[in-house]
Amino acid sequence: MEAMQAIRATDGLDGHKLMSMAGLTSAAELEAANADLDVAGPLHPLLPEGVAPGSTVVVGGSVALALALVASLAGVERWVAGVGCGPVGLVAGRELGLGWDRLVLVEPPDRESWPTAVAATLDAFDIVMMRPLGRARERDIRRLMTRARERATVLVGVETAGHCGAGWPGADVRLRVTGRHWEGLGEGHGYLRRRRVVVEASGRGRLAQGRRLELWLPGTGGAVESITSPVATTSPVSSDGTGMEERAVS
Amino acid sequence: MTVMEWPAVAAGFTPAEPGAVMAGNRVAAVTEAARSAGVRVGLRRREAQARCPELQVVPADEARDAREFEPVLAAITELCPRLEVLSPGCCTFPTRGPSRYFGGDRRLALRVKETVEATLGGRATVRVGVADDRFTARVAADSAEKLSPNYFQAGEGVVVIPAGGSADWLANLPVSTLAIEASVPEDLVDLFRRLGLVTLGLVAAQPAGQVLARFGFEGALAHRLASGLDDRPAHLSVPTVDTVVELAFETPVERAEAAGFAAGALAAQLEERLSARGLSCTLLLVVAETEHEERSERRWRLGVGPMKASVAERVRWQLDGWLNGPAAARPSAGVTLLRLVAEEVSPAGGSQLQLWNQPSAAPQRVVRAIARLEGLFGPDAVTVPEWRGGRQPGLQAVRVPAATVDLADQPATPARTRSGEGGQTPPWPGMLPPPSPTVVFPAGDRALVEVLDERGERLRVDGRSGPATPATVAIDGRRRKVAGWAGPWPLVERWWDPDRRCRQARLQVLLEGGDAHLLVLETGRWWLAGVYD
Repeated sequence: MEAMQAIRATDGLDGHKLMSMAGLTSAAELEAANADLDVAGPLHPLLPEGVAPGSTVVVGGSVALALALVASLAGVERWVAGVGCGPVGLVAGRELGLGWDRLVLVEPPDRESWPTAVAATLDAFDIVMMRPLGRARERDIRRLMTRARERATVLVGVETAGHCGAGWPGADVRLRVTGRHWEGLGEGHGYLRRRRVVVEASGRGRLAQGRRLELWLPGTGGAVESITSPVATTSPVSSDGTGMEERAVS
Repeated sequence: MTVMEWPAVAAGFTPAEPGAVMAGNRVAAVTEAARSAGVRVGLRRREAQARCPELQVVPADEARDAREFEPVLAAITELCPRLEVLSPGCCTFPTRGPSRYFGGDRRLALRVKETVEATLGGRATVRVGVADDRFTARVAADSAEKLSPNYFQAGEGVVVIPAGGSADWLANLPVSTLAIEASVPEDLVDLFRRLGLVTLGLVAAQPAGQVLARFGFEGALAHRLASGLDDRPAHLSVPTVDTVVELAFETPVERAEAAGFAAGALAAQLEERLSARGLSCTLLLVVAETEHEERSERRWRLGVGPMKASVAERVRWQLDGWLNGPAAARPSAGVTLLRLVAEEVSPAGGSQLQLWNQPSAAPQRVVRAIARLEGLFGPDAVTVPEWRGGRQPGLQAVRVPAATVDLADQPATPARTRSGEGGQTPPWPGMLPPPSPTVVFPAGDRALVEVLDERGERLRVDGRSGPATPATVAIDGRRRKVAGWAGPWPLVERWWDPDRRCRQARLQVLLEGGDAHLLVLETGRWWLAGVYD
């Protein structure tokens, strides 16, 4: 606390705001809270500048992408809360690098109470991954985004198919899986081995013009992998079985 | 300072009542009236009652003895702040400072005696002995009446042995005096007597080294005591403080905010009391009661910083979850009593945070948020994953309530057993290889799906028919063509257990449009078990 007061006195920072930030008690925590969260690993080219604390990231089209992003943001130090992530595959999350030791899951009993739950976790955790139960109200989303900014917590919203109600106005970063192509599965043989996806990032500032990245999500073994040799084809989306048979493993 | 026959006093007898405290059919303590009737410590119950027919008998209760002694200690603490309780009814304290203040050992001793007697309402005989060491002081207090050496005036119940005079004073006492010290075994006292060392002076005259060699540590201890030396340095307890504050509301409080506000004032009061002793509270018990005797209890670990705001917030969280919780658990009336108990105290200022410290394993804020969410939604709503292992993705990870996991106790490095990463995960033959489905539906929450083969018939899996060839899959009524599939892989688990047995076939399907699903055939129907999203 003394450290905080010292900073307030010397730097002319808005001390009251600092004090109100979730449970900060020392300058080290303040420093950690103000540093951008690096996106490490294969997702790095997508967000090389990292994610600023307090920003909101919306992930659409793939739960695996949300898990991979949270995993790379969290590292081993940060605490992650999953609100309404009931059916999210924890084993898949682990394969994607999301540690379980600093992961706490909150299941609000009904859709009225999930904004309360998210708000409570935003006060304390470093990263909050939320999956709105049912249709999210735009008003709630806006309020939670403001709160995340106040508390310097990264809010990761997972849009699942059929629940894209509010559309998350004003999100700082949007990630979306636009193309996907599974490998390894044949006509009655093999197994789902890896998936090639196209991820598109858009958002504010430098992200305004958008970025595109092809990834193995998940790669062999379940983790996200970067594609080392660029493949000529730009439309890897394929629904017919012809291309797959060549790569299928039996 | 010794209160004579403390168990009898603690049992509530006055000296005029013939009463005795029995431990295991033997008299453990007697009142003055019983003593004059001939009842002695160590008599059998029947003998004692024969000597004194009107004797009232109470069973021994150490908890009662200790409890009743607390007010006495509190009264002494006012005079001498640093106390050591030897047993209920008997305590020692260093006198140098207080003696100087009150004008000598004798004055202090009389003062203590008066204070204790006043506290007990004159029900007890109090003896005070002052000496260089604890043992001599205790013997002096115990024997204030029986012995009549030069150092005390009979009747005052106070014995002051002058500095350096302990060994001389003890020299003529019988060796059996050692038995009042619990750490000296009775056998040893008996052995001394049989060896002809009948007084403490004779014991003390033996060379210390040879006593140690012959009688071991117990002998050495007895030798030290007999020589008027202390057996150990004084172990002084932190003074006991009243750590409970409570507040009764005249009109029941219905709103958590109002109760939290009151709790803040209460906490400030408790903090003031603690900080006057140089203490701070680290674990606080918050108890709220309603008119109808419903209770909510919760322990809160407190960090550094002023208690008022943090306690107010915690009480608000606790009561918010309780007063506005699910109807079944909600109390039927407003809160009428609020009690704060400092369960753990530590010297204030002992928990200084480092300026550039690393974030701790489980920051207080996380623990607090978890407690708050538990208060809002119940303990089952807040979970942490734990690795269990298994063949089905839904069973490999179980969610255990966070309340049952000590998050603060976790090491800072991520090699852990809870996540199954520390050791080698044993192989589970028949487990689907990674990647695992990113959406997993638990067994009770799966949607029915329709899987049809090329002829439009329901896909069956059994030993006799040929390989199953799924052609279309309908999920939520939407029918889509199958682009690729693998399986079905049968899985039979725990066939011996009627409750947990599992007999199923699993099928990975890739549908047109790129969606991959894990389907499970169980009880003759296909279910959607997971999505590779």
